[in-house]
Order: sequence, then structure tokens, then C-alpha cells
Amino acid sequence: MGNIAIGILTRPYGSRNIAFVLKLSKAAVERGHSVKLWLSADSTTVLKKNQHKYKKTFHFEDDIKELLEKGVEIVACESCVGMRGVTEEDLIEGVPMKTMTWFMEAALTADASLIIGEE
Amino acid sequence: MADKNVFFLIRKTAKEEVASIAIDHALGCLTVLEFEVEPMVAFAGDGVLNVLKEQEGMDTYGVDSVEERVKMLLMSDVKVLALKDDMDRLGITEEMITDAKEYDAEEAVTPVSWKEILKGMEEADMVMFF
Amino acid sequence: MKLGIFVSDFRYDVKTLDKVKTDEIGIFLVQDGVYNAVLKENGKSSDILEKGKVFALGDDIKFRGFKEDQVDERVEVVGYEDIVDLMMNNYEKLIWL
Repeated sequence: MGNIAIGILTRPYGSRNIAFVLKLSKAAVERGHSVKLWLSADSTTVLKKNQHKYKKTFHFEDDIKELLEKGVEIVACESCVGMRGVTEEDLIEGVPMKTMTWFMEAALTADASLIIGEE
Repeated sequence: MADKNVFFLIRKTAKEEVASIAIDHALGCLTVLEFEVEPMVAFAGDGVLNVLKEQEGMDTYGVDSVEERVKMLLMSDVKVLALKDDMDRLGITEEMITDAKEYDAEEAVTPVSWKEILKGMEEADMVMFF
Repeated sequence: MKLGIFVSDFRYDVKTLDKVKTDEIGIFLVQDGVYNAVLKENGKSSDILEKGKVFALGDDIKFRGFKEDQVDERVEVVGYEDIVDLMMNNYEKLIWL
């Protein structure tokens, strides 16, 4: 089976791109592929823990935890997180912070890579 | 010759963080250790406005402008392209685009045709649109 | 080059897409991009349907109140799993317009 790398920098709840990426990742894992997700810029704030769950609205923390349990590697851009006043302790457990270099290496060694380059 | 080539196409302008983040990704290519990566960065559409010189990021918001990041690319010998058709459309002449001569960079922003951009996309191992 | 292009907006970047000429183009209409698969603005279907092989995400069509039988016959309705398969097997490079 192959591996997929996806980068995203879109705003977390103001856009539906996160929902798309999480669902696509889940489908990829269910197909037997390994997935690496790179979140940079505003998208990193969707990695904060303790997101309140409201009835019948988008809520991504549980989806992210589920993907982590399924072996998806989810990584936050270190400087993007830092400039937003977020620390590693604020992030969902199992989400490390790394540099852009990590993503470029992941993308260039993946069988399929995609960056969603919009806010 | 690099092991891998990445082609970046930037269409977003100064309002958003996207252009800066895109350039940061390109710069990130230069520190991959496992293999050698050569990024190429092209500006097209309204994104060509990013290569204008005399952007005053520091004096206005106390930040590096996109121009500063473009200079960093040039200083790192990254090839930077700007789509000539869009430059012409927006009245941008070659005299108006930035360089990194003050840092002794040999590379300059090169106005090119779409054919050149397409060639860059074709030849790259990976293409990233911003 | 076999290029897969994701389009997530109804009003997508036409100028760039029109200039991308290559051996094979696959277009993935997702999110608001699916409006291009179902609407006929002023009676005319979207020009994007002529740009390559076009796929549209079924969930996003339904999310916006349309039914699959309203989708233009040139468009193949797909699920997330199908998109994964297409990404892995059919296209060398992928971009998000």
C-alpha cells in the first residue's frame, strides 16, 4: 500500500477544507494507505485540545484523535503554532510540532502529495 | 543536479498569509537532509504583485514583507519566476521588480511566459499551488 | 504529465485552469466546486466540464441540496475512497486550484 502526504493552511472552522482533509484521510487509511498530515498557518488551531462540542455542528477534535489512533501522522508547524500563542501542551496528545522541512520531506517521499494552499 | 524538484505557483497577494507561507515551504526544501531538493518559485495572476520592490514591511507593520522572503529565495539561489503576461496586465515593468543585489545574489526574478511555467510544472517531481 | 486538479470553489480560478495544458487532466469537484457539476447558469453548463475528466464528490453534492440525477452526464460522481484510488493510481501530480 502507498503513502499520502497532505498539507493544509486553511482556517480551521471558517472553511470546510479541514473536514474534507479529515474525511479523505480516513478513507485513505481504510484503503490501507499511510497518511501524513501537515497543518500550518491558521489550520494549526484545529489541533488544540478541549474543543467544545456543540450539537450537530462541526467538531474536529474527535476526528483527529480517531485518525491518530488509526496511525495517521498529524504534525503542526512549529513556528505557526508558536506565533498563535499555542504550546505543545495545548495540542491534542500525539500531535508533535515540526518545521516546514519535515513536510517537504514527507511530501517528496509520498506516492501522492497535495497541498491545500488557501486560507 | 538535485534529487527532487518542487515547483511552487503563488497566486495570492499581500492580504493573506498564504504567499509568505508558500515561500517558507520553498525555503524548507533547502534544509531537507535526506536528499537534495531544488525548489522553483513562480508568481502568476495577481500574485505577481508580490515581486514588486520597496515593500515596506518593517516600517509599517514591523514584519518582513513578501519581498524580503523573495530576496531570501534569491540569496539561496532559488529560481524565481514571474508571469510576464500578468506583469504587463498590471503595468509592472522589469524595473519595478525586486532583486537581491545588496546581498550579492546572482539570481534575479525572471519574467517568463506561461510556457516556461508549464515547463517547470512538467519537470518537477511535485507541484504546489498557493 | 497526468495532473489531478482539485476545485473547491464555484467561481474557481478560470484563468489559471485555462492555461494548464497537459497530457491528461482530471478535475475533482469538491465542496462548492460541485456547483459546476449541477448548475446551468443562464442555461449554460460550466465550462470546467470541458477541461478534462471530471469527478464530483457525492457527499458535497448532497450536502448542497442536489441529487445525483441532477449531475451533468459528463461528470462521474465519486466518494472519498474513489478519490483516494484516483490520487494513488491515476495522477502523477495533484494541485488544489
